[in-house]
Amino acid sequence: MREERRRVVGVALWLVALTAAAPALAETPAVPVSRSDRVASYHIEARLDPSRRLLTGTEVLTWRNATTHPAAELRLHLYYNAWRNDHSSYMRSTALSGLANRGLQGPADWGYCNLSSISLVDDGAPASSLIPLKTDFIQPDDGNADDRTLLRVSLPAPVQPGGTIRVEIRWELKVPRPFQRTGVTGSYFLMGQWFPKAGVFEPDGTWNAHQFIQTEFYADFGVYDVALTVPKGFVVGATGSRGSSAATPEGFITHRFHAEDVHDFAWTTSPDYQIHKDRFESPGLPRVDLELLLLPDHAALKDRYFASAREALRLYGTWFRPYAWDRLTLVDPPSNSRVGGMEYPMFVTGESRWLTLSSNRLLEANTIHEVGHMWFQGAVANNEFEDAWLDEAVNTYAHKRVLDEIYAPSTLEKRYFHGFIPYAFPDVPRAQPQHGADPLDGFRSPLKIESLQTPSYQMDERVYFLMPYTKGSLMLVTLERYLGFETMRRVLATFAERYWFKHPRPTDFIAIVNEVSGQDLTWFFDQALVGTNVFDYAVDRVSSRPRSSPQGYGTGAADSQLLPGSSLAGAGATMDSIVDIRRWGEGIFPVEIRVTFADGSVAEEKWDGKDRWKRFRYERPSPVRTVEVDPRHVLVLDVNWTNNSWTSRPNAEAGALKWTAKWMIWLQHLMESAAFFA
Amino acid sequence: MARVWRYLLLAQAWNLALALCLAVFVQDAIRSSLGSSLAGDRMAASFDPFWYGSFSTRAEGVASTFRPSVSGAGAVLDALDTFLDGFASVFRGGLEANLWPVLLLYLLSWTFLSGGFLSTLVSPDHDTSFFARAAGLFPPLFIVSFGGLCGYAVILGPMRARADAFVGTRLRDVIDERVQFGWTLGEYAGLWASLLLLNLALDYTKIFIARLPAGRGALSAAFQGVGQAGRFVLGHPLSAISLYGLTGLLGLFGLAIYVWVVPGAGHVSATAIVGTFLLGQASVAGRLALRCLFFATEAQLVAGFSPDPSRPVE
Repeated sequence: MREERRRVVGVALWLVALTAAAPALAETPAVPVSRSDRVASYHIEARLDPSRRLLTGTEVLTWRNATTHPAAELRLHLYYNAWRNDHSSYMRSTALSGLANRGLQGPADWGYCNLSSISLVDDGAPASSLIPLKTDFIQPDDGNADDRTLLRVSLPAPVQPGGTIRVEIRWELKVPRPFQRTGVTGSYFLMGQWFPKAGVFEPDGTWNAHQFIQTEFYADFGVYDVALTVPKGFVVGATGSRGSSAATPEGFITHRFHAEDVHDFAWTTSPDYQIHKDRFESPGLPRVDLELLLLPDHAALKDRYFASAREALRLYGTWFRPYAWDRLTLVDPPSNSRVGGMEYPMFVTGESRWLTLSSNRLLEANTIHEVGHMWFQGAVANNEFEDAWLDEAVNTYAHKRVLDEIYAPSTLEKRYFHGFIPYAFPDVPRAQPQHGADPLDGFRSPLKIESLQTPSYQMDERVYFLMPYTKGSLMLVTLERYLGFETMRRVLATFAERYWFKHPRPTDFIAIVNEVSGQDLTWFFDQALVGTNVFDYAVDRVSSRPRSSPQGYGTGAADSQLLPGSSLAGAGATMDSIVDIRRWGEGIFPVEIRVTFADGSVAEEKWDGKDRWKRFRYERPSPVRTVEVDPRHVLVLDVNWTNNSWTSRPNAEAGALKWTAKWMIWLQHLMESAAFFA
Repeated sequence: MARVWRYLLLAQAWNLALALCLAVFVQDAIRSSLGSSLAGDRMAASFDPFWYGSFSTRAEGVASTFRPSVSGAGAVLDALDTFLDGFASVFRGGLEANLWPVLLLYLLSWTFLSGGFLSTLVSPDHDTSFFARAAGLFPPLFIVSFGGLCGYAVILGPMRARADAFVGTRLRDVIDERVQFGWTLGEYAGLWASLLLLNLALDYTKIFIARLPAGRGALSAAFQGVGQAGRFVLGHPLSAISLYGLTGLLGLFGLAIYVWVVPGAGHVSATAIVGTFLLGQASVAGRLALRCLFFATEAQLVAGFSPDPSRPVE
């Protein structure tokens, strides 16, 4: 009886609790709130045959016309056709940069994406009613008729504004050896930019879809449901959350993944992977489940991968905005696979070596950079085809900032014996590319080859990586040192806040910089982003001489009298000093000048940097000891920081002697090695 | 060995003199690039990567071979790596290509000096001068060295290309770096075993040439030396290879000690600069002595089997 009463009370309490919770439950939506506009969503089923390197699949693309213009056609990217043959625009472009045909040994190394059918799907209609669609390859960027990376699909009837269509595409992919961050090495598959993917229909009613000439991307957000069937024993990792896995009668396993509000989907599979899991937790930030797919020879690097990913999640999350999703997959690729250092939504590939020194920060820098792209590219999804610098520069700047925050300054490391054996030089400091433009010095500075805002598919191949990554980040580091980190942090936080799950353009970023800083910095962006001017300020001339007594004829009452004159003034006399600062480069930037005198006194000057040169005069008891232009190294875009300083006691002789002595020992050992062959 | 010390010092001086000739250009390039800037202070104290970034874009000729990795142990590791790679960077037009004339001159000069050292070691009571003996042995040794260079070229050229292709094919689909390392190590071991065996044979050829009575034609002496050396090495392979290997290991041990103790780039004082330089000279002298030690021990081995230089070795 007592038991029964207890049960009744229990049920009553449960009902009361349920009643109390009902309003809250009713408020919880059955489907999570969409954070993006979800224009293009995909349901993909694909099956991998590793021995033939074939991936066959079917996808259903659900595409919504989010513009106010009717869409009479679709445009599909068939990225894998970039490696169909050496006539593709990608291969022609890489041939110019000397990267084509790297390691190609036969037909098996090429790839393709062949479509067997494209059909409209009517909800509820039988499969036989599918309507085949008319297609043709187009080449809007370079007119290369041999390029088959962009397909135009003519629709039987325009999709009206707000309307949605579902298109079923059946395809076969031949997976190539990795050219650029996708492909197969042995039984290791990294599948990026793999499925036929819709271009972006812009609000003005035009398609923004480019041929695949450089590895940059632009796509609409959507929901991805992907089923990947691979042989048993192959470990799979992918964008999104893991769903169920099921065995097929043929001994394959189908792995299901689901991702929302992403604009791409990448995956990887290999029988060699070991899966490790970790969790990111930090006060004030949402929890993120981490999954690391690690190769056996890199097993010792597990903790370093997780630690660097956690630091990126913490600092990007604290400084800019919390991570957008609840999962992140870290992929450790083989060092010879050429698929390292790439970002896809919720999925990044790292870069590491078997023998890695603890002082080496390549793994950390790369992981932090790629995880950082989850903010600037993954969620703030600019058009990389046209504005590659925007996410690369912003993220390279941000990842450098994270590295500087966490790790000691890097020192030189060199790898010997085919790059297998690392050796550290702990007392030789090393400058990262973002720390100074000095290696880009010279009359024909690489910085002059191309404007940073040139679209990626039109950019000179020689400076393709230099521009968005190095020059772009140098531009932003300069801006940070000019405005201060807190202002720069607020710039990026505002940028993330305002364009989270949107597609900003450079003008949007510049507008935020101006708004947050309270300054119109167009003059800077016009030079560093639009223009190709190089910056180079220098100490041109310095002289200090004791003031002599007046000589010649006097003035006023004494205008006809010859002044006595004298030799140089004695002890305690005033020194007349002049300091000339010169602008050798075309770029203009305000600079500070620090003049230090022999008695330890310091004069701090400011110059708008506009004229070709500026003279500063001093009457002091001591001569000038040192002059430094831009002593805080604000203008890291300056291509020659060495000429920014001057000293009355140059130490060039000692520096040259010390290092030449070392070089001599090196040469002597080299000669001795040569003598082996005598 | 005791009789060759002063000539070893001479060889060291020659090595130093050649390096000094080129160092003048490097020092001038560094000094003028540093100018009156504060980078001079930074370079004297440690290293200025910003200065180097700028310098490396403008440096030409010999000065372009300057890089921070020449400091400390890097001097030895860099040189060994270039050596292990068969000076491929010189032939591929890398930065070291600017140095090929001096490397060739040094190689030739060692061919010359080898005659003096070998003659002194083989026939210590010879009444002619070191240089006269070196000059006398130079023609046959030059022929042998030239032949040796051809042999090295075959190993480092076509043989290596085939080995690279073979290993490359095997490693094409291998993603485990440990396996790649193993294969690469195997390839190097194979190539370098061939190179060292050839070097060993050439060493004995030179020793037998030095043992030959004077007055023979250069070509005849060279061929006779090759024949005798071949018979000797084939007749006593274990002794010859063991001795060569042990001497080589001794050299590697010495270099390892140098790599261990040599200071890096952080020293500032004049004493430290001079001390580091002298330590470097000691390491070079050690390598020169090792070269003579090879000759001395090999000559001793030959003498052990055949005390009379005028009689062929059994």
